[in-house]
Amino acid sequence: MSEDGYGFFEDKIVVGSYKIECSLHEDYIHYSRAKESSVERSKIIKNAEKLELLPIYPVFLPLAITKYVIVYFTEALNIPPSGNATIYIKIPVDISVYAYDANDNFTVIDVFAVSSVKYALYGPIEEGIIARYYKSEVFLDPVDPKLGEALARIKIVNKTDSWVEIGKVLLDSQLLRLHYKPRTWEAYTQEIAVNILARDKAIVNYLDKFVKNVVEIRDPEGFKPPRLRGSNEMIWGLR
Amino acid sequence: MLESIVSYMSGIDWILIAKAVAVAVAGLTISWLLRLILFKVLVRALPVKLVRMITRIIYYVLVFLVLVSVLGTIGIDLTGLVVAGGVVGIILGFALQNTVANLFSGLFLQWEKPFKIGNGVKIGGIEGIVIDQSILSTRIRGYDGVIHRVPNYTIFQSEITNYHGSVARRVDFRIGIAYREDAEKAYNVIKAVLDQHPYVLADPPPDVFVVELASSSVDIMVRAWIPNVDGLPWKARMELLWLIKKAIDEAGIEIPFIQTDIWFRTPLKIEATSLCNKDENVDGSSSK
Repeated sequence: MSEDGYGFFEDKIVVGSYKIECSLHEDYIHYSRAKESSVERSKIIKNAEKLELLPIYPVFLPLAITKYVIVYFTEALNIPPSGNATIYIKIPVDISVYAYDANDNFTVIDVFAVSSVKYALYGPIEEGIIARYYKSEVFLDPVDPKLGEALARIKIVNKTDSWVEIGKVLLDSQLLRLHYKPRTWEAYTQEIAVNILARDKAIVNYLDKFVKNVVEIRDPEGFKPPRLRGSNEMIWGLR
Repeated sequence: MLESIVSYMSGIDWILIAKAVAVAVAGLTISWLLRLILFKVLVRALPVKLVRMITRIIYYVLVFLVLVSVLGTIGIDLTGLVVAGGVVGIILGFALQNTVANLFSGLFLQWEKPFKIGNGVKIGGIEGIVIDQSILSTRIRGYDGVIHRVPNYTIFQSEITNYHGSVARRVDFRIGIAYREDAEKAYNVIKAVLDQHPYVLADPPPDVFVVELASSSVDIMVRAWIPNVDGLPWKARMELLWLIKKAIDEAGIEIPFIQTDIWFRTPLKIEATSLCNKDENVDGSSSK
């Protein structure tokens, strides 16, 4: 049995309610994932040398239908005019299995969720967007994320001259960067800045990582456009 | 010989020729510029293929007008040409009536964009996916795989339903439970299925409520919003009906058959007769 947590594994490992097994052969690896004795995914990966478990952006299950993640706060946050607040929230992450060849080229062979997968509509029915849904507590101090979660530090700045209530945040997974602590189930995003410019406009900027001794995941090929920085807008959901 | 050439050349009105050349050069330049400007303006609103075709037609019409102007400048009488053009125009007008109607309808449809290629639509009696749209007609692949070519004029005059016009779609269905069953228990069973299904949106949340106390059942209405991508509303509807039926069965809740109570104004005399042969006793033995 391999040691728990993200990172390379060799034979068996338990991830939530899933039991993952791999057997190494001369020129291939046999991989299988089972839940309650029922095999849900089984694959032969030719010329693979090793497998690695990593957190992945929660936008691939059951089908990739969006790139957005929306996190609803269990308690809305009220911010005074020209005020700011730094909070911590949890965002969902799914679990991916990377297979590497001898030249360190990788491919993602499996993605699965350890918590329920739900989506929500952000905005009106005609022009809104579908986003992966998650409900998170709002923490004022950092907490340890559990399996299937990543901790995000959000700095909210109210640049308007009136009180603003914010109860959710929309994130673009193509601008997120996920980090993990090897041999633990802890995952983290980078720091995220939400600048509220008006009641109908907030800009979400993606900054640098806020935790030390973490490793950034390598993004699946073709998932992200070639850009380092970016932002997304929130035009609904502020009060 | 030389003299005759000189005399012929001197007989030509060179000023007129210069005027004609000037008209031709100016006309062609203006036509080319107009084509370019129109392309740049129209391409913002219409597909490139269509804009290319429109600007080409306009350009050739302008070139024709320039040619007519040049001929007029050098003194060629165009009365016959105008008369002939008028007659040809009337004939073409009648002959191409439908084509022109389709063409302009196609232009309006491209402008208005009531649907896009790949959208699921219902136009008149045809339902399917739009696979191609040209200036004259639109091709729709029916859900049964049959390809329909619909003239744009027909589409323009029809009621168009676009199933992909919104980000999410609501699926509705009624579930009837027996009167003796606990409606709240049924509500909780249905709600649990909806909460577990990934494509039932958490926001807007699904609605589950008693919609009617019907003659044979208590009818529960289920309304759930589903992402309008890749035919998910249809797939989710099928899955949900199946999962809810299973969950209701597992919870021991009865989905009743239609029951009808018949009331007779006067008491009925019912004569009971044995199903057995008259010659046989009830236990099947012969009385002989």
